[in-house]
Order: sequence, then structure tokens, then C-alpha cells
Amino acid sequence: MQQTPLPLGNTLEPSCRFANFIVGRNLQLMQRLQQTSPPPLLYLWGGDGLGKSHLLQSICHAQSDQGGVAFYLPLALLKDEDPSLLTGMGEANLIALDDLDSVAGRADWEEAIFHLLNQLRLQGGRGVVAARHAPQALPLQLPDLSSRLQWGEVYSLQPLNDAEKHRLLQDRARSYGIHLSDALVNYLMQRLTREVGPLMRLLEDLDYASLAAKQRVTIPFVRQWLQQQNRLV
Amino acid sequence: MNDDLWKHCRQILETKISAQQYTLFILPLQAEVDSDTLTLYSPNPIVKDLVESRFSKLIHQIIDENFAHLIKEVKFLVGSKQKSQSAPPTLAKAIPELKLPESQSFPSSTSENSAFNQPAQQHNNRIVNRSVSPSDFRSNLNVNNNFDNFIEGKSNQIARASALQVSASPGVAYNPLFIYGGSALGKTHLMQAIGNKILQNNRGAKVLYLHSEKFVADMVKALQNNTINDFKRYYRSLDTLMIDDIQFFAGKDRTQEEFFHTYNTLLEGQKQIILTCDTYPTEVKRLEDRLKSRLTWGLTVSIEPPDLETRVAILNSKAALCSVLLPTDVAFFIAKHCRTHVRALEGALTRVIANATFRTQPISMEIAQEALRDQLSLQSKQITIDNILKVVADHFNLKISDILSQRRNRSIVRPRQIAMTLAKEITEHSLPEIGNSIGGRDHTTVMHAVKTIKALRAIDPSLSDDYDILLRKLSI
Repeated sequence: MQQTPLPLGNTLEPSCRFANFIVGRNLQLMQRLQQTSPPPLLYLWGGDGLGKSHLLQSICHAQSDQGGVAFYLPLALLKDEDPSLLTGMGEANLIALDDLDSVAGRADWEEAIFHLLNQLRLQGGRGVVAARHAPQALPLQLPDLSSRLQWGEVYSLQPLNDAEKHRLLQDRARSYGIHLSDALVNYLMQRLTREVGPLMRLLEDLDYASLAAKQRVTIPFVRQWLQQQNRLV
Repeated sequence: MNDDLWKHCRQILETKISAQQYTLFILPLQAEVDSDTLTLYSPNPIVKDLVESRFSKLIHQIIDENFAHLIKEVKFLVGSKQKSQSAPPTLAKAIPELKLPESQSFPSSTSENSAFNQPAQQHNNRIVNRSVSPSDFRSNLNVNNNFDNFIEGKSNQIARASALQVSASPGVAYNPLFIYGGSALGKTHLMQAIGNKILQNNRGAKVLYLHSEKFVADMVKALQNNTINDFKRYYRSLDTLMIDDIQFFAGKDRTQEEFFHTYNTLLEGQKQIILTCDTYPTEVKRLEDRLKSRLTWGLTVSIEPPDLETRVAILNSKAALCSVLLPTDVAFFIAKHCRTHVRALEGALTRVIANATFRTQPISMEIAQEALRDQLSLQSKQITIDNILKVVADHFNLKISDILSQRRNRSIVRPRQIAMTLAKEITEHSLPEIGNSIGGRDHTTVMHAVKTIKALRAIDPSLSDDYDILLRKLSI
């Protein structure tokens, strides 16, 4: 009997809500998501740290809030499971398939997803898919799956600009109980990465470091910590 | 006892939650009572996770109110109560009595007249008999798939003509009709158009469209429920059977066996069979030879990818359906970029319409280009600092080596600063990385360049235009 803890369905990240999503240049997508007649299949693509998982979970939250049944399926975590676990899920109101790239090229998973999308369409449910690449660029083996994905409404997620990343970093830091001054955020973003994913990981590390050192997060503290870590260029 | 207790709980649960939740989450559970513990087995971690979080409280409450003297504890586990657990249970396997829409059910053996007239659904361990008239029979056809909106071109002329003949004389002309071709070229549309036309000519005809996966699932369910005779009777009583994508029968020997006999019975009774596949019958892998040979008995027609003019006609037709005015240049632009199949055309058009709606503007080339950047990944070329350097150097008639050099005359410094600013704006590289890639400079030089270009753009329209042109070149 296997008991695998998976971040599925009910274990959606509570903070992954539309309200917490910094829209930036994704206004059209956000408006589309909140229209009363969203598309039957939505496909979101883009690199790491653009908020794909956040949006997928937000969509699931919204569906659940309306009393519908939504499944959030992070395929990167599920890829070692038997794809037959998707059987019957087409009865749900919404299926959100995250990290489709991670099962691209896997014949068993591709066929299971193809049948799931067919069943979903037949039953009038909605599908939301996220991947790093556009449907045409995914290394899929099954042309039928590729064509069904291209049938959907496709949006590439646009990265935040520096001002929006600045805000995101401060918002996330606040959730950790850390105050990041504007000067400190500028200090970090002028010297280190400007990618959201690595920035968030840096913030986590910084949180642990300040807790361990029992010091407030200030520029001198950060400078010293970065030098110790050899992270300063 | 196990069954009665859990059956009673389920009956109460059914009245307290939605039918959909009941079907998806409660029906798949298997119950086992061991001393004073009720264990509920979910077929997979997803169902267990959701049942535990959403319905645990309610299940506990029902147990407390009804079976407190018997059950002290309720456990939620993944697995099966059966002793042998060699194969992981799936939702379908765990839902022998899964409540299915009428279109997905086939009649039970209790039918007195024709199987078609009295379907029964097993649900919650109760057999529900309900009479339906022929008009209740669901063919699964999409009424929008008809001959009128099937755009004819060189690529599908023969297939369409054959389909028309079959629809006029089902069971007589071309039986079976086997339509093959790549994904999303209109096979399903054509097949359903035949079905709709047959129904239009004869409303009482028993026409059924289904995907091959559905046939397999129905058969598996019939075997599990010991209703295989009902399954056979149902499928063999049809006037027209249409199965899509039969390549998915590959390797499913039991399904092929059953389909073989259904096929023979229908053909003998002069009932029409229409099949689609991604390849020529004899080319289908892992399909029994006797089945392959039978599939070629009727007429085999192919559908090829549509040519440019047909693609444009398809787009115009879809646009008209959406009451949208599609300019000719935009239709050609989309058609040129979506060469392979019809779904890509439809997806692209949908995205263009969504973009126009968002901008509250009529469809134009600019709107289409912007939308298709997402849909077709026209921006698939990765924006790199090297690419930025090349585009900037070309624009200012310089060599890349000039920009990377230490030379400080204005004709080189400005393009260099523009390249740095563009790199900061449209890549996610850190400022030290940008400086390092553009002549081994410090991050403070990049900060200075960004500041300078920002200030100059406010006062120098020519420089501002150059910057915008470069940004567009790099973004599209």
C-alpha cells in the first residue's frame, strides 16, 4: 500500500490566489481568466519563475470556491506514478496539468493525457495546461496530443519588470516577517540574479541566515553574508 | 456487514454532497471493517487526499450518528481491500458501478425488448430501469459537424465525396468507410457529418459515434460487471457505428477480438461502419492481421493536410461562425504559419480574436502578429545577449567587435549603451553578467548606461525611435 504525499487538489498552496499574483504584462491573460466564459482549454507557457504554478493553483482555487471539482496535477511530481491514475478524472469541472514538459516523450503519459483531454471536452469540463514551451515546441510523441494542445488558447507568460520583481520580493519577504528596504532590494538586484526563481531562493536562504545569526536583514549584514557565501560577483 | 454499513453511509453521503463529488470521490472507495475500525481505500493518492480533506468530517459525523456502537475509528488509505494488490487500482477499476451519462452506458441483460429500448444504469448497487424512446438515444454527434461547414479542397475531395455517398446510402455504398490521415485534418468532422446526415434522413436510425478509448473502457467495464452480453447486444444492434482513432486499439487483444465480431455482425446485417485512423489499415501497428485485412474490404480514403487556399477558406468559415471580420491579409498570415493541421488554425484564430477583443480593436496584422507570438512560439528564438549585440550592430552598421571594444567615441558608446539597456529590459541576466558579456565591464557601467539611455530617450526622439525599433525586432 503506497502512501505518497503529493501536493494535489486540496493541498493547493493557500497563498496561490489571483489576488496575490502580480499581473505585470499579463493583463490580457488575467482578464481572460476572470471572464465568465473562459476557454475550454487554456495553455500557459514560459520559463521558470513566471508564475505558471501559481496561476494554475489560483484557477483551481477559484473553481473550488464556486463549488466545482478541480484537480491540480503537478506532473513533475507525478511522472513516476502510473498514468492510469488519470482515468475517470475527465468527469471533473477543471483539470490543471502543470509541468507538461516533464512527461513529454513518455508514450504512456501522453496517451493518458490525450484521453483525459478528450473526455474533459466531451463532458464540458475545462483544461488548463502549463509547460516551459509552446505546444509546437514540446517534444511530444503523440501528434494527436500536440494538435489538441494547439487547439487551445495559448498564452506565453511575460516576465515581470524590475519594479514588479522589487515589489514581489518585498511582498514575499513580508510573508517571512522580514522587512526589505528599497535600498536593500536595489542592492540585491543590481549585484545578483534578476530571475524570480533564484531571487526567491536567495530570500529563503537569507531568511535562514538572519535567523541563525539573530540579526536583522540590513545591507551590511547581507554584504557580509554574500561574501561568506562567495555569492557576490 | 462491511457492504451494508458502507452502503448505508454512501446513501446518506449521496444526499449531502453533489452528484459529481459523489461520483468522483465516494464511489471509488472500498470499505473494510476490522473489529471497530472502518478503513476506506482510495484508488490513488489524489482521491485519498481529497476525500480526507473534504469529506472526512462528514463521514465521521455519519458514522457517529449511525454506527457509533460499531465503529470507533475511520482510516483513509491508498490501495484496495482485496488481498492481491499486484496491479495498482485505477479510478475506473475501482468504480465498477460508476454512474455514467446515458451515452456511455449500454443496456443490461434485463432488457425485455431490444436492448436499445430499455437501457439500465447500475448506480449505487441499484439497477435503475428506465424506458427511453428512440429519440432519447444519444449518438454523441456534434451537430456543428456537418457537410455544409466542411471546407472542401484538393486534400479532402475524394474523402468528402465518398462520405456524401455513404450518408445517402448507409450500409450499401462503401462499407466500411475507412478514413485515414494525420491528426486534426477533419476526419472526425467528416465522420460526424455522415452521422448527422444519416440522422437527418432517418431520425430513428441508431447512429453511434465514439472514440476508440470509449469502446475499450465500455468493454472493460462490461467484463468487470459481468455484462459482456449486454455490451455485445448493444453494439451489434446499431445501424451505424463510427469509431474514431482506431489506432488506439493497438495491442489491446481482447478489444480487437470483440471489435472483430461486432464488425462482422454489423457488416453481415448491412449496417454501416465508419472508422478513422492515423494511417492506412495495414500499417496500424499491433493490430491483428485478420482485422487489418477486413478493414480494407470497403473503401479506404485519405485526407491530406490542406493547401494554403483551403486553410484560408477554413479560417474564413470559422471567422464567419464567430461573426468576426477577418481581413484577407491576416487570414493568409495565419494560414502561412499554421501549415500542418486544422486545430492549429482554429487555435490561432481563437487567440487572435481574444487579442482583438482585449484591445477592443478590429482584427489587424498587428493584433494577429502579437497573438501568434504566443500561439505559435514565433518568438522561439531565445533572446540572448549575443543576439542583442548582433541586432544592435546591424542596426547601426557596426561590427560586434566595435561594441565589445574599449573605444569610447559616441558613435560606438551609444549603441553599446543601448545594447546594455535592451539586455536589462528583455533578458533576465544579472547586471554583472550583462557587463561581463559586453566587453567585460562592471555592473555599475550597465547601471550608468541604463540611466543615460532613459534620460536621452526623453529628449532625443531619434534615439528613442531607434530603441523602439530594436525592441520590436528583438521581441517578434
